[in-house]
Amino acid sequence: MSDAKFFAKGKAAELRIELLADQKKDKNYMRRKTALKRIVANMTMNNNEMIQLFPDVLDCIRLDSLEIKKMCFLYLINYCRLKPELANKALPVLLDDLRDRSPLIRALALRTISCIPLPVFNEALVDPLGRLLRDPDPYVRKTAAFGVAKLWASDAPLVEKSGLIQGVNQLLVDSNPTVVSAGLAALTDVTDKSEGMKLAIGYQDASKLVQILGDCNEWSQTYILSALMAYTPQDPAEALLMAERLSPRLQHANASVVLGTIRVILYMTHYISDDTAIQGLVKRFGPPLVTLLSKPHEIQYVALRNCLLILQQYPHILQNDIKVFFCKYNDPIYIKATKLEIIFLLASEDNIKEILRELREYASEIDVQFVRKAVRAIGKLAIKIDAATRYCIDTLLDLVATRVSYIVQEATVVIKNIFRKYPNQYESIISVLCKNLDSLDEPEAKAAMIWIIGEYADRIENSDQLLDEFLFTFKEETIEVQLALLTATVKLFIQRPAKGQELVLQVLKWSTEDTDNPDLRDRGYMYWRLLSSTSGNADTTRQVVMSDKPTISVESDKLDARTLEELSLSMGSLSSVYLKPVSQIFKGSKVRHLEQSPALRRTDSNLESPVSPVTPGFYPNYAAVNYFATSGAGDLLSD
Amino acid sequence: MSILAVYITDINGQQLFEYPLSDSPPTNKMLQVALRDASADDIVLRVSSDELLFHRRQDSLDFLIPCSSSMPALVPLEFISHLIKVLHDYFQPPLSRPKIEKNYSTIMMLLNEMIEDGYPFVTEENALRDLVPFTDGLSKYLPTLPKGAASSLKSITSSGLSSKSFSSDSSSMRSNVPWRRSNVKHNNNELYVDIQETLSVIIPAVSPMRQLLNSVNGTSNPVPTASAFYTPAVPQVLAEPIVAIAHGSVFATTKLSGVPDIQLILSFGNRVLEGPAFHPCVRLARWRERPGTLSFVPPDGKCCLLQYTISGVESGPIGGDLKTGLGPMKDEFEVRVWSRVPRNVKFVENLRVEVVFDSERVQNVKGTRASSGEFNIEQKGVGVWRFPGKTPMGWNASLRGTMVVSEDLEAGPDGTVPQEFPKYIKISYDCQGMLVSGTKVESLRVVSGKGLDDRAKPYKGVKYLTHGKDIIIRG
Repeated sequence: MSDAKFFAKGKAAELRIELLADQKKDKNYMRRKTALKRIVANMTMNNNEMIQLFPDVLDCIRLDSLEIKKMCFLYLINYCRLKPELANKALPVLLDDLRDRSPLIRALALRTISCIPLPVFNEALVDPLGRLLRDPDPYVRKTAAFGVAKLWASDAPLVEKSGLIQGVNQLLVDSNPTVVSAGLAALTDVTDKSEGMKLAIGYQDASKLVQILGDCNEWSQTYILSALMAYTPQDPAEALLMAERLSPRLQHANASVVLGTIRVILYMTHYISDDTAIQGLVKRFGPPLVTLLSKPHEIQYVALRNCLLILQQYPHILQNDIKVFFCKYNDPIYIKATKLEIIFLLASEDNIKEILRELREYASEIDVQFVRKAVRAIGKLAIKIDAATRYCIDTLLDLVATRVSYIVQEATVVIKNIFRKYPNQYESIISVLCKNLDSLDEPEAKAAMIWIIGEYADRIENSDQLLDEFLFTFKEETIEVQLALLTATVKLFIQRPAKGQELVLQVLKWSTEDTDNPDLRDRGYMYWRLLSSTSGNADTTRQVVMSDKPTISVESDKLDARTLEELSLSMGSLSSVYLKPVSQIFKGSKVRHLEQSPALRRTDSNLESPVSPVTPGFYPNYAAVNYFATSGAGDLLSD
Repeated sequence: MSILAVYITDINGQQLFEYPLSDSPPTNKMLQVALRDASADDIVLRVSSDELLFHRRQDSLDFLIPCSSSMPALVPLEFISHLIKVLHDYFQPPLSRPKIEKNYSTIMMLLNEMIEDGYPFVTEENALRDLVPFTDGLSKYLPTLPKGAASSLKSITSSGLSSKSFSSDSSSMRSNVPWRRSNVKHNNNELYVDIQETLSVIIPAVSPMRQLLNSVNGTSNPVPTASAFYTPAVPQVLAEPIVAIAHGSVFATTKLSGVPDIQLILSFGNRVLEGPAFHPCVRLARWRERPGTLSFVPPDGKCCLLQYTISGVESGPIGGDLKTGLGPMKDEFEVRVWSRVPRNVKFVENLRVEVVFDSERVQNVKGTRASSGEFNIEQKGVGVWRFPGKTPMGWNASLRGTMVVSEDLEAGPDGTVPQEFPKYIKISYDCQGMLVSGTKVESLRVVSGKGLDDRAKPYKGVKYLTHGKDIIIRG
């Protein structure tokens, strides 16, 4: 039977007749089932007429059919919240079912009650929940664990005084791995949302969790892996052993298991003293990350963003796989842009020629946004790898020769940076750039070109003419370009007073008298004073205006150590995708940091990190704070 | 960290299905607003200060999963993949609006089992089949829910002990494995292995130097590119691929009664498998002892045992090239495509060649002449050259044409508008009977099977498929 035709106009009255059909004639409850399907379908489409059928649906719960019961439960979950007064009538029936002989029904009833966050329901659930946490059937225990988490979310004080959290703690020594992971997931859920409670796991217990990983399904593995972040190794050997035992999980088909494993292993490396061992561990990340590139685009993207994060710390791990990150034309732009960043990070003297050939190819693609990024990457490579600068410049010149406006502009911007990094070298390329002044119409490119002219005014034959041309439109330019023009003209005057005199007077006049922009005016006055007061001492002026600039490097793009630490501890989360600390994305989120321990390696980020707030007296002594401490060493899973 | 709701909408954002998991999840309306304002590279959207939205389009339906902000991104993304797989398993692909509307109650019951307190929990099709009855017309072909369905639940619940003993001592198999339905019975016992490889290749443009040599020496300068697998049907000047990667998936489809234990031995030649990823049923210890050996108790039905990546493979049974600046006016391009002669393969299917150009600069393609197949501009910037049905091996075809440059383009410095040519061509096809990496099944046997009739020898079959997906030849 299909639901399509139920869909049209589910008249509540009609459906009621079906629900009340003579039981003897309703073979296998077919009529009732059909009616309930119609009711559920209507409910899904927010047809609130169905609420009239509440008492009739309630009567059906007691029928001996699992399918009917399930549909009735779906109905109750939907309408009890809307109609608390009706809901009270359903409660006794549901509570009865919590004592049903069938574990499936006990679990279903439990799930239903805990999905209805009404005070009466919450209070009625406390006692049975304590019992169901110790139910003989694992499916019921698993459902009960989540039931406690849901109950906590709706009424935390009720749960905390009930001792249910201790009950969930007991599940962590359950004989069934699925139940253990459900217990952990529930506790993680509670402690994540709670101000006062915190998950803490000792070595023996963490070790047991790793042992049962293999017996769990992929989701349970995911939750155990995130719970393992609550274990703080006290000894380097412990941490290493833990990481070694986790590494087979890298071969799992589920991407969230793979990334979860990488996160825990990276976390462990902060507590491992042996550097060779660390290198050996991180090397294993490469192949699974490459495999994630065959997944759907969204998963690929998250994997690639996290690759970026790992490469910041361990730039060599994917060195031999660089071709895997070459862009396909039909990759979406977000994938391409991230691949480009990875290619940049993986670039070295050894592979630079191959990479430049590839980037040159990207620079002739159709997507302008991507082309610009490719050109920018070439320029940044020139700054990153000294030995490759010549090749990069040749590639850029090759691109400038295409005379495609946006390529020329982007190239101009990056060439300016190359001059910043390598002053007084590669000057021969200036003349090539000067031939393409006409194509510059973007402020950033104009400002870059003007900077180059000012900086090399004494070596560019017609620098005064070039500046004069730019000055022609001075008043229409953006402030960025105006400032660049002002400075460049002053530089021209200092280097070639005769040629620059006329221009500099003009520009200073415009900057001080004809502008509304305070920055331009201030800078204009500053130059004016400088030039007039030290007219006898040109050296001082030269020192101020033509001073050595701070060198630029690509290192400044790198994340600082503390952010990097925070991000790698929250690998796979949204902040790892944006590569921004969580505080910048979500206000008031919990920031992760490395817990202190004798085994913690000293790094820049954690040296001055605040004293760990997990001091015993700081938090109320809820059971979850030290829930494993009570289970003693080594008997977590014994019966 | 939890999933707040599951929505299924059509591609216009109209809600078809809603499954709330929290008190007041963001409504579909709010999500649609977030989607509308999103840019293309927003894989994850922020709906509010502490809510995220993950989404995927599949079979002309949109799956929207709003989550709380601490959710690790891959959990909902993998969950969407699993949900789609389960819905395909229950309702057959492709999914559609009527299929969703027809099966509200089944989908709700499925989600009720799949997500527990906002956490994905059970997504194995086998476990779900035991928990949620199959009410579609197809149900008569499938085992129905056993009476007192609770007993069937054992398959996911009492798994702990059994699966532990299973990994340590495979000979004394217990009947219950978490991923396998209980009491499986089939009248005909069958076991199939399908290996599919998806091939991605990037071939660089033939350098101008070699093109020049080519034209000096005549139209085509024979440089044979023979290999262990192919003999060239058409002599070609070809650049070496920059990238040639095969992503492989090994599927097992088992219709065996009881609890069969299977051993599948694969050979990968001398190839290195990069980052193999396994189904939980595969015993990793065995694989480590003897790489290539998959030892497992499969779920009933189809499952993906192994996924792998092999790079540096052959460029596949279909080759192609792109030449530009041909003809008396030097304004023509030519695309050629040919099939090599691999062993054991008689044809490829669904061959199509996409000719991609810059739609901003090119108005139209004129004077196209194809030796066979049909060429049409099917979307902005893409001309598709199709060869329906089967394409034999040792065959070739060519396509010539001229790009009409847009009228409003600015002239270059020399006063003319430069001629445009295709940027690249992309070839795709399916080729049955071969794997481009040379991977082979060495042996496939049922080692033991509790509840499997010894006398009934299962029918076994092995199939290979190479799916040429992105064979990109740069212009």
